[in-house]
Amino acid sequence: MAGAQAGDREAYAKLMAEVADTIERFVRVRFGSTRDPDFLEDCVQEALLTLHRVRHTWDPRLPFRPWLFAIVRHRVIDLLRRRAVRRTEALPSEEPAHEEEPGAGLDGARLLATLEPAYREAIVLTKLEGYSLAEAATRAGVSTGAMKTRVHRALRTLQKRLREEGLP
Amino acid sequence: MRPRDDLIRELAEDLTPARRLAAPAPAASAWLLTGALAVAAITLATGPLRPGLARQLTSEPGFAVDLLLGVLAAGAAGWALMRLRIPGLAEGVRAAALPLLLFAAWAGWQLIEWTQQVGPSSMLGKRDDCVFEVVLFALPPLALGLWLVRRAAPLDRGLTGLVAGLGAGVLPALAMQLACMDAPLHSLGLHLAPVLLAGALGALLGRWLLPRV
Repeated sequence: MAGAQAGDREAYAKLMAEVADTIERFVRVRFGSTRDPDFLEDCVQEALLTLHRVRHTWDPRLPFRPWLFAIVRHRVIDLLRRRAVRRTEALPSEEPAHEEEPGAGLDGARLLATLEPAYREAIVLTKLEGYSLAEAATRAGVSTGAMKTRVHRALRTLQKRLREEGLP
Repeated sequence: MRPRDDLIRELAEDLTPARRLAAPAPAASAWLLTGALAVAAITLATGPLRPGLARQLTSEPGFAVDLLLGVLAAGAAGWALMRLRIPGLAEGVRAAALPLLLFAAWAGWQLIEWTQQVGPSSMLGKRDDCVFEVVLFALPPLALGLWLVRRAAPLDRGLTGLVAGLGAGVLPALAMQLACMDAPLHSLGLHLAPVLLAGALGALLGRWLLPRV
């Protein structure tokens, strides 16, 4: 990255290719394997564009990975939020064109995207990123009790969605 | 070839040398020093320092503690602000904990002074509009702080703005501790409380003016 900051295009292209694979793995692990390849590719490309735009903010005296993953996590959560908003806006006019098989199209990212932002954040922090309730509460800027409630409600909502999808 | 390969090629072709950000400590020092000079100039342009200030500085240890807590709160806010602008360096409410704690300690000191009568109160130097002056005088350092952060990549724009507002508000509050009347409850309600307003204003402006990463 230090070479890239200095304008070394070859080093930069190599770094970006490695980073793209890392981002893809990160998204798969942290946000669940997805059956929507477009979403995964969106995440990777959006993150690459953001990294390119803010590359000057990396300090060579600091480790690269915390900087990288902070940006990637931020972009992926933002993408999930935007997808959720788009779905909510599209909901009233959307009628199912055909009856799907139970569980068809089911994946973690899509289910997460249907949750309200606060509930989704609670699930991402506690169940996917592995923070304790107290740590997640601190990160979200709420009390531990509020975080516990959010996780509980988010899980109940997810259970309900799964039942609606025809899965037990 | 995957779409991302095309993108990587385009990004590499677009690459130009990047001017790195200053490290948090020097950036915070530059912001606070410039902001303090601006606030000092405005404060002196709108009224004199409190009579007897020099004697108070040398003979009242409680007053020195008061000023020290304010300076530490400003320093911590500057440090936190310049860390929040770099992804992965400071995240969440914890990033703002130290300046908030120091500000709370500063406010707490006013209460201690009031209950314990640590130093003598005086109406000397009273400014009629000090509460408004704290908020107004905080605007130049707040604008400078947000402008400095705009070049970086603050992931939490509201929190970053809040910390900028807090640091910017502490500077005129300190100035009022030197220029306006010296009484603990007056300081708490009319010099320190407006700092919270500056923080709230900073949070709003941060969400509005700082770039979405």
